[in-house]
Amino acid sequence: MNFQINNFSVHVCQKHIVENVSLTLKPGEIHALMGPNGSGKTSLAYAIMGHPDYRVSHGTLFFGKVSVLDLSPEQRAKLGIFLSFQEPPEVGGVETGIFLKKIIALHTENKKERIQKMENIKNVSSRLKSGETFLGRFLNKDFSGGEKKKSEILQLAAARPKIAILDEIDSGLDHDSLKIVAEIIKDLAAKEKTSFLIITHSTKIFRHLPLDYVHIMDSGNIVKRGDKKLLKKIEKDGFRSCIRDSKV
Amino acid sequence: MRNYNLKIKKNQTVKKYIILHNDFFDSKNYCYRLTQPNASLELCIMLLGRKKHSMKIQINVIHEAPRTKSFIRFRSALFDNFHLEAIGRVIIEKNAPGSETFLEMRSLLFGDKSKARIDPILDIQNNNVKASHAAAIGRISEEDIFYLRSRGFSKKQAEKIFLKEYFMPVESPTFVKPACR
Amino acid sequence: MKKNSPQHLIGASYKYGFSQAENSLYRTKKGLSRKIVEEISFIKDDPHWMREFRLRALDFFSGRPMPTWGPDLGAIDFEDITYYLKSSDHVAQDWAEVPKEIRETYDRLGIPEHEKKFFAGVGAQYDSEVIYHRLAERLEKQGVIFLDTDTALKKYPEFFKEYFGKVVPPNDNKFAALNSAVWSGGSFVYIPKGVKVDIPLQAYFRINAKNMGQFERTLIIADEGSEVHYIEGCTAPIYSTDSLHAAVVEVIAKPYSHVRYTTVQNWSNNVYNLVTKRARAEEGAFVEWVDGNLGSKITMKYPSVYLYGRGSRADILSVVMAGSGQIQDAGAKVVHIGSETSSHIVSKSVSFGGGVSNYRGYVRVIPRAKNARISVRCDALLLDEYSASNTYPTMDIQEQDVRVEHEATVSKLGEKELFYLRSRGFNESDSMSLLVAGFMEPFAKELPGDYAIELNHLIEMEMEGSVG
Repeated sequence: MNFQINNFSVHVCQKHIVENVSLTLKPGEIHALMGPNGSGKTSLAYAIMGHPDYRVSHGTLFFGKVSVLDLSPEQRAKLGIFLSFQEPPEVGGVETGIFLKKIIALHTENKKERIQKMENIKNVSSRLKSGETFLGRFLNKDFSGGEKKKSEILQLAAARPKIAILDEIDSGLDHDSLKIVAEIIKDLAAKEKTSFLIITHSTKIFRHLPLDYVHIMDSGNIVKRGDKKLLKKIEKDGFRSCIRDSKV
Repeated sequence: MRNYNLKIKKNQTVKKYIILHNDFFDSKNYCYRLTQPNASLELCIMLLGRKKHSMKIQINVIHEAPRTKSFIRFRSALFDNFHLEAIGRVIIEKNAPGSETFLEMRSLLFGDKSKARIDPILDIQNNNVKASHAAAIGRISEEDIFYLRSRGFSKKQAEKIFLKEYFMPVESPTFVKPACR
Repeated sequence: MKKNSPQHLIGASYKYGFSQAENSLYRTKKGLSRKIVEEISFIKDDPHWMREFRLRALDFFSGRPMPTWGPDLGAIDFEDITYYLKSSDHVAQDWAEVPKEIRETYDRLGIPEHEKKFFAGVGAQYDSEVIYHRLAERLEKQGVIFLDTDTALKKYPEFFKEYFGKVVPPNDNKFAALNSAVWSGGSFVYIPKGVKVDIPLQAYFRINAKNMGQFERTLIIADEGSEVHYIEGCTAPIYSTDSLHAAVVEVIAKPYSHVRYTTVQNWSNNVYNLVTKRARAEEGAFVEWVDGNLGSKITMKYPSVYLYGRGSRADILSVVMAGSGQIQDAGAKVVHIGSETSSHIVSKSVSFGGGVSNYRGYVRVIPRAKNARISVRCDALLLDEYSASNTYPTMDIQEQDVRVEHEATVSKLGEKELFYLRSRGFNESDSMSLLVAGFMEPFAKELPGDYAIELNHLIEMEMEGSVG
């Protein structure tokens, strides 16, 4: 099932921040979304996930035949859409481990499967070297930047979504952790046919990942698209030069 | 109208956790006097206000002797048509040097009709003290709720998780840093 | 018209923008009555509506009881006050009359000889007139009006009819009622649309004693998109023979305007200083009150802003120094009426030698005033065991989409910090004044250059006095 974004425009507080964005994510595809700060990448992500402050002025969002815009954020989550936050908030009322169990339970009926999945998560947690106490700590509470990203990665692994939008999941991670994230992404793309929209400023993560498309955003619009070749150009010249000689 | 009075004596530590919800009594007065040296009070009052109701809560803590301490935390979550008036008054008298107090008063508002009026009062007559208070009124941040919803929780479930932390804070009350450090 | 009649003299003031009514021999008898108010109205040649306004206000004043909260004002004898004086009556007639401590303070502050007399109000002829005229030319070019209130009422009655007594109605409180009945002097400022006045308008240039009245009435109107910074008072102590100052300041900030009103008050310690200051902020407007209370016997002052317009903002900085025999009861009041409004209140007070400083604040968010953001911070420093501080903040919130935060601390100077400074060679009082200056820094940095220096000197001197 394709995830289809068509002519999508979003405004916040009467300001237009996403204009006429169209994008198609096919199962198992990995897309990169890049662009300068303030270009609307996070706003697009929030609007796809259904943040109440981000109003859709026009456009459609379809997952297969389902119109996503009709759904609340939690319904979108249950449908299989996942967003990893750029700045995850602290949630002191629940322990990280318990929270991950709850996410697993949301998507898995079978008790045995749930236990199995939780074991996998614990595995990933040790591979990420998050520490013994990590799962016992309150969700994101007093976490460093890197720890917060690890929390998002574990939640991604627990949710095993169909559509994953990752907002700067790579920032603040060391080289080893970055490789592990890339593995998780590859695994999900292969096994669950998860499509990924990876929002990032750096091309580093793509050294470990196959890449289907690159989209460059500027001032709320997608101004350029390409494949891995475009990524190389961005690595060499930065995306500003790509924006300059642009037009979709 | 319900009145509670307590005198705390020498070297005595009193810890009180009071949980309130809609009550027959719509007005409550709590008065604690730290009458002798080294008396100390840890007071935690939690209020869950629902339905159409109006409540007035008065907390009075008086430091009457040297080296007395009080930590007061009042947290409320107001739903429906609940109207709250809360006055928290801490007095440190002239002959209570070496005393410390921290007063926190908060109100989380839900729905469209809840209202809160908070008066945190500090009456300090001696300079050899550490006294501070903090008060806040508002909703749970939209961003925080959205985060949990994006993980599949409903709005109500998300509110419950945040309320859990709100009413059972992990850290003990600490001072707001005094401005002149 | 007789040559020295009040009407003639007021006519003369038209010409120079300065009042020359100083030469008037007129003053009312002591005490307050309908007859006295009528006399005052007559001397000033009020239009009919103003006379009626004064008389109604007098009724409010008589009918209203003294406030039941706050410092004890029982010592004020309303019958023992002269409600309309010659301007030269407000100040000492002779340098020798000015109290010794004040004369000494001027010396210590290094104020030049002729300035001293100016600050004391003695000898009104001072360079201020020259400076004023240069200022006046610049302002006139921009269409800015900056006059004393009495003259402005005559010249621009339409402004007064529309705005006078609207932000602070005469029955707002007892002292606003008193002021409304007997007001005289004060400043009128009008800034036209889009004009940004780049120099602060300083009231003491207009001082020639007339504006230093007991019952000043100031009205500031900032039209759309305009900007102005108005300053009154000075850090040097001002000796006043009047024991009661009940002033009213009304500010109207029209859409997207920015008004900053700075007051530094250092009245001698015989003065009761009871002031009502209030601003009305329309859409997108930004109002700042910077309020420094250093002197007087008792001050009661709560600058306030009513945030009517969407997106309007208020910033209130209140700084208070309460020494021996002083009660400073100050604070702030903000009412959030429009949506998307925000307010920020900072109050800093220092008490020593038995002084009492209080913070009295009131923040209100009315129903449907959505997305209000409020933060309040009040800190009090008690320098010795004789001083006291009380904080009475009230938050009255009737709308749920808000964020209100309030923090307050009361403490003494840190032992560790004091010791550290002393270990570097500063003596005790210097150390204290450094730390107090640090505490008051948010205020000092809001004052124009030369004020700030005086403030630090003043703090040094107060610290010296209070130690040992």
